[in-house]
Amino acid sequence: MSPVTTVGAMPRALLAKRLAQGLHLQTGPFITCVRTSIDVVVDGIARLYADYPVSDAGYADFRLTLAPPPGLRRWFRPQVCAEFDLPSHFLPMPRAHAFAMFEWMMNWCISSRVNHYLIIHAAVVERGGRAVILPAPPGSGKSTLCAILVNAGWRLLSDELALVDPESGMLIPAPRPISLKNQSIDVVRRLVPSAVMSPPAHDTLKGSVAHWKAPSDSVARADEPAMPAWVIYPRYQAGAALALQRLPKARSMMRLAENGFNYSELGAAGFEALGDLIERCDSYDFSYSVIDEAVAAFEQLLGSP
Amino acid sequence: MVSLALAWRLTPLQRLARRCWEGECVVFNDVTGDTHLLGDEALTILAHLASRPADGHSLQLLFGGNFGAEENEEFLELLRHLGQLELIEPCPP
Amino acid sequence: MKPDCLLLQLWRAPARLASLTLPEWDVLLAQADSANLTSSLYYLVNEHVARQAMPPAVWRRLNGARVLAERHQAAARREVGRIAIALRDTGVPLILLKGAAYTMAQLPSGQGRLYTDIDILVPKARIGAVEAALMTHGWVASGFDAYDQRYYREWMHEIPPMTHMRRTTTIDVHHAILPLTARVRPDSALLLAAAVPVPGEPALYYLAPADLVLHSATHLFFDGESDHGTRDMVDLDRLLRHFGRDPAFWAALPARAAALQLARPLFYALRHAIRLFATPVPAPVLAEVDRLARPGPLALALTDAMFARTLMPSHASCQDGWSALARLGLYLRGNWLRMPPLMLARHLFHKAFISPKGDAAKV
Repeated sequence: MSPVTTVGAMPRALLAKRLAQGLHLQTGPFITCVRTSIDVVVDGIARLYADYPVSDAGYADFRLTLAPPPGLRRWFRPQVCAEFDLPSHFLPMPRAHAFAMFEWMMNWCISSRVNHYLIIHAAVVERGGRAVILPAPPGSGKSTLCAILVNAGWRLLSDELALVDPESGMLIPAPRPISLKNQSIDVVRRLVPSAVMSPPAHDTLKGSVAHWKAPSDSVARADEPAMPAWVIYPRYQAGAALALQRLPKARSMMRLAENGFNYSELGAAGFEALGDLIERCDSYDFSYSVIDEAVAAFEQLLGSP
Repeated sequence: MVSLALAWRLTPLQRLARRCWEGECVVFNDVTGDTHLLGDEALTILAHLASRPADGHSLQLLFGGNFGAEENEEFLELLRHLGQLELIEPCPP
Repeated sequence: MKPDCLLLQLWRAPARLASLTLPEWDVLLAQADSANLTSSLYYLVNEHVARQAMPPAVWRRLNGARVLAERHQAAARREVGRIAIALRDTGVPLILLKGAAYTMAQLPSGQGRLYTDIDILVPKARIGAVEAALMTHGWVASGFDAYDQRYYREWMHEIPPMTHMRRTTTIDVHHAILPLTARVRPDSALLLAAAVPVPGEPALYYLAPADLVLHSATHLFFDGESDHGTRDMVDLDRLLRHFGRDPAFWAALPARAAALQLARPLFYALRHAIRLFATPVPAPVLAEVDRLARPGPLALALTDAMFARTLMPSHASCQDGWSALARLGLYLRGNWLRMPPLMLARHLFHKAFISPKGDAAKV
């Protein structure tokens, strides 16, 4: 399946036209047929997916359609219905949230449909051939930490979905725009004044949400799996001292199972894949409050054998 | 009512997979699809019951016997817990 | 112009699977996904195409669906075992319906199936005892409001679904296969009397072969819901082919349908199974069912037009401009068959305006 071109290489008018009919976007190992005419989504894709290949193989793993709902709602309070192959499971949403919804649906496609990888709700970054898995429930500051590390030069494999190949034990990249919520939007703006970001969507169910374009290098290396070396559970706490505390492996395995999207579906195979992963990695609890300290702590990890 | 005289056996048709580190084990029961975190004592009990049913008294002997009142209560709680997890069950009369 | 469908074409002529192009796989999988048939498709493909001959992405997708279905079936078996334990002391025979029956009886129609509930049939007189036993073992009644509870208990053929507190699995306890208010009343006693023990499982039964077919046909052709139409037709085709290997099955089928007042759904089932899958049905059987239950020409033309659309996968590539109307017609028709008109109006009114639960915009 050789890609013809990238999103960024297409003139804007052509991109809009292709999206209206269905554009085959490649993100890591997946091809998604994205169909939309909604301007904020087209804009978002033009800017944040510029580096991504467009496939002409005529096959898509997933199909996403975002369109205004029929009827009066279209005119009075512009809303969006998202269709994932089948009629929508999601509520209609304000037009301003449409790009955020697109990103959520891209995650939904993978987390609800893919069974040939073990999928864990976690960010994954890599440096020097070794990867860190950062699982965390919402509100733990995972997305901020992920953004900080990426900015410090770590390669992004994913900001939400760790994909573990059960056969090789490797982590499979599917880098996409990094989702930022509330304060982390400001953190990134301060750190990276030139950051390419979607306009924030305010008052979503998760507060304010914006997406930050993934580094071109990470996208270029999306076909390069990484060997996992650490599982680190982050917790941001204002004013907290930096702490990296080793976590017993059995407990880490249980926590990862709890954060698994398809762990139950994979049965014994999922158990073995997770067990192998934990065996291979050192697990830690990590609290931080100062960005520079967090970055330095991760640098130190790299120095260790 | 769980007493030490109650005889236990492994729940039939069980298939367990386990990974153990530093005295703790993650156990997967392929029949129920459940995943458990268990300590060494629980694993010792399960391993023993895998060969034959036993009552609470006999199982205590695996740990040297001589349990005080409080330890007895904790031990019974462990057996009850393993029963709730459907890993073991009282022997049919 | 009636919609056509790659999925159904290939189901009729699966040898062609070996020569599909990647874009054709793309369409086929989208259609299968929309009909919840991707896991079943795995088995069909597996019979006709070597893994190496398939695009890797396609194989992974089909296999992923199969893995999921196998977990569902393992879970369904476990759940049936638990239900059997819960009902052991009541002495009520446990008769499995639909998917649970197919899985426990290891019928071809169980392969690749996904489950939401377990369905069982018990004598009406024992419903109270069954409900009590289930509650003792951890199932709780759904949080329906008083109106819905009464709707279920007075008029429906089942009690409200019960959910297990810890396992969150659901059981539907039926005492008949059609609601009490429906225009026909298949006699549950006949179904219970003919029930067949599940091989290797002493306390479990499933409906006799003819009754499994008739129940599946009834479920499909009387119900208002049509988003599993293709799936149900695949089941029917498989059941008919499996049981149809025995000539005695065919010989007894029309009379059994008549005895249960289900000759009309059988008529539709055979008609559309032949149309969609070229199911081999002996001519004398067709003739007898025709004699028993062929509808008038107008009704036949209307239902043909309706079913031609509603039995298709819901994917856009299988639908045409008439399809939405056909689905609406089917929903209204389904309820009409199950409930007298005055009650229907009242029920729909309640559902649309008063019911506190979620999305009432079904009609």
